[in-house]
Amino acid sequence: MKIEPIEKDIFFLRKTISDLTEEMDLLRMLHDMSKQLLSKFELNEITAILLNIIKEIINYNSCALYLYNKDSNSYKVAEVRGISENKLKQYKLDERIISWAFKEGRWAQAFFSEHPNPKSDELVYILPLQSVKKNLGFLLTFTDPEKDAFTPANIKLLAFIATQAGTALENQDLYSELNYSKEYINNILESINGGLITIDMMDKITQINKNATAMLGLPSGDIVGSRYKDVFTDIVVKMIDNEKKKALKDGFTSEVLFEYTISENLIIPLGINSSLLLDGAGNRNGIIIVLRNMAASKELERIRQLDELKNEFVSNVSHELRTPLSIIKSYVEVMLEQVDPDDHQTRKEFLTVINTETDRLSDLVSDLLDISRIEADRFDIELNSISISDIIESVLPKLETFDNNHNLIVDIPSGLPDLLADKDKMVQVFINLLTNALKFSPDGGKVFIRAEIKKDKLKCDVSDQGIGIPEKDINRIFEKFYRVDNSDKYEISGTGLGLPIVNHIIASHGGEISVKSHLDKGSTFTILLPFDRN
Amino acid sequence: MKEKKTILVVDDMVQIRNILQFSLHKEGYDVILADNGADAIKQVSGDDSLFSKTVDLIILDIMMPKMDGYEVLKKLRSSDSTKDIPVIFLTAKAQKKDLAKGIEAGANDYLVKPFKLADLFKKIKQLTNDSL
Repeated sequence: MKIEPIEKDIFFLRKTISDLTEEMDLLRMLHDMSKQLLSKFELNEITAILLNIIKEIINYNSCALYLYNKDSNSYKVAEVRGISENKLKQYKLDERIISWAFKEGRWAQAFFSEHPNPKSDELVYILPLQSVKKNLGFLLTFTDPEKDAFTPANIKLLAFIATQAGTALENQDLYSELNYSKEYINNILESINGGLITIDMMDKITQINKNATAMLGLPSGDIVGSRYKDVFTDIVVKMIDNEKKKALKDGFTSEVLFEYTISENLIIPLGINSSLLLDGAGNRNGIIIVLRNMAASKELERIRQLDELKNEFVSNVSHELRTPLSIIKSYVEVMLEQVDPDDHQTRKEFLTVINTETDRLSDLVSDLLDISRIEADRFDIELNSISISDIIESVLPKLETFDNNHNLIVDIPSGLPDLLADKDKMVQVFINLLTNALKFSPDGGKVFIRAEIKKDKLKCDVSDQGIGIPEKDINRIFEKFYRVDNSDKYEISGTGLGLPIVNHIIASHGGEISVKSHLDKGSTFTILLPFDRN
Repeated sequence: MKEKKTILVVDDMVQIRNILQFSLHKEGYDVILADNGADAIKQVSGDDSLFSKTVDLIILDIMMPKMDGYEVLKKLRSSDSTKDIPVIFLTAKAQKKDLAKGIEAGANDYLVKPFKLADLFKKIKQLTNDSL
């Protein structure tokens, strides 16, 4: 074995150590550079760092960074150093060089088909920036030839930097796409005409849009990440509990309606439904809850119903007018054509019918006038001191002509204090109520009218043993034009004006009317009226 | 003399029943009355021996409690013994859809209240082939 002199070995060792140190410096530098590059997700930060690093390495006079632009499908200037964009435009870059640089994936010296300054001896290089999949852009650098920037070590460094920059740019691209998608989805969630809440399987709120916050009257503030049980009111928690239970069982829930009280005088009708959230693999991820403010659709529904009511009303009124008219006309025709002029008995009988039917017609017309006066707020009453017995006495004869198949039982004690009332209007009230009681009772049914003192008021009941009022209709029978639809069982005519007028008359006397009813058992209308204080 | 034709008047309004009875009687018809659908069917079906008379024509109201005119007509048309009896609807229901529903249900003719007696007589004669 040959032994080398120690001096030589020392020289060799020194060189090795120096090389290793350089290598280590290089590695450290590379590490720092890539860390810097990859730590940024904003495009301008990445390009600035890239250009700084390259300045450090090759000390260019000027440079220009071109990045691929999706929209124009071309490379556009993204950043320049030491050269103006206008001047840059005067350079006509040979595209074949760029293609070659991309294809080879390394530095290339650029040539220009036209050069603004042919005497310039600057070296122009192209550094392609690529990711694994695509060409992202390139860097043009202008350097002095004497600086000898392109040493093998520098070229190695630059190649590495180009790869890192490519990765950083691609990351940035993905990141901005991700950001854009996130923003896009957020915009959808916020713009959607409804409230949206998502919770995960641990009951944590993962998303809630402004509409949901507003609908539930929640204080603004970030509640994403909180458990819904900790931040929602009891009633909302209960509602979500229910939805969650059903959604976990069936995968979704059908919309249910409930009146949600936000504050003392703000109640909104909410429609709520939910479905199970699944991830790509089909695993349960949470629940999505959708809230709809039904106030708008309720209003539409109300208008539609009103329209329907009006149509029905016109048809009902037409029927109600035709019935007495046809009776009158038939009796008159028969009297003119067929009744013996000397048959006074028959003539009198017929005239009585005609008279009654004329009254019925005129009552109907009064009802129509009354309702239009009520509408126009011109329904006047004339108050006088009058007893309930007087009122009922005036009512009974009018009922006799209407009906004699029922048993009308009047129970009004004598000596009740007087009322301060409009007699005609009160008569109208009782005719309406009693006519209804008779109309909606089977033949032979009992109809009661009772009066008594209750505290400082007169309480008067009109009750029957008739068909009763379905529960769903009972709150609506005082609405004008509203008629209980029982045409599947009975064809009972009417205009739907009687009870609204009664209601209005009682209210304008400072009284109250209420109703209790059992289907097929009968109804009781109860009136409370103040006594005349004088 | 030819035998008198019998007309059944079905209406829940007593005034209408009475005047039609009076008037048709004067015109030379026998008249029987029913104030509801069930009673009308009973009378023409001959279930009730008291009213075993054949009915030649029915004047039928539509809006009646318990069983309306459409249903009465449906029942009449579904039974062999009554399916051929001519029926005139006499009703205050004047909307086109009501008329259509009446004809669809199998009514032979239709009169809207208020009506002219002369029109009613004419229709009765047409449907009973009466040359009176």
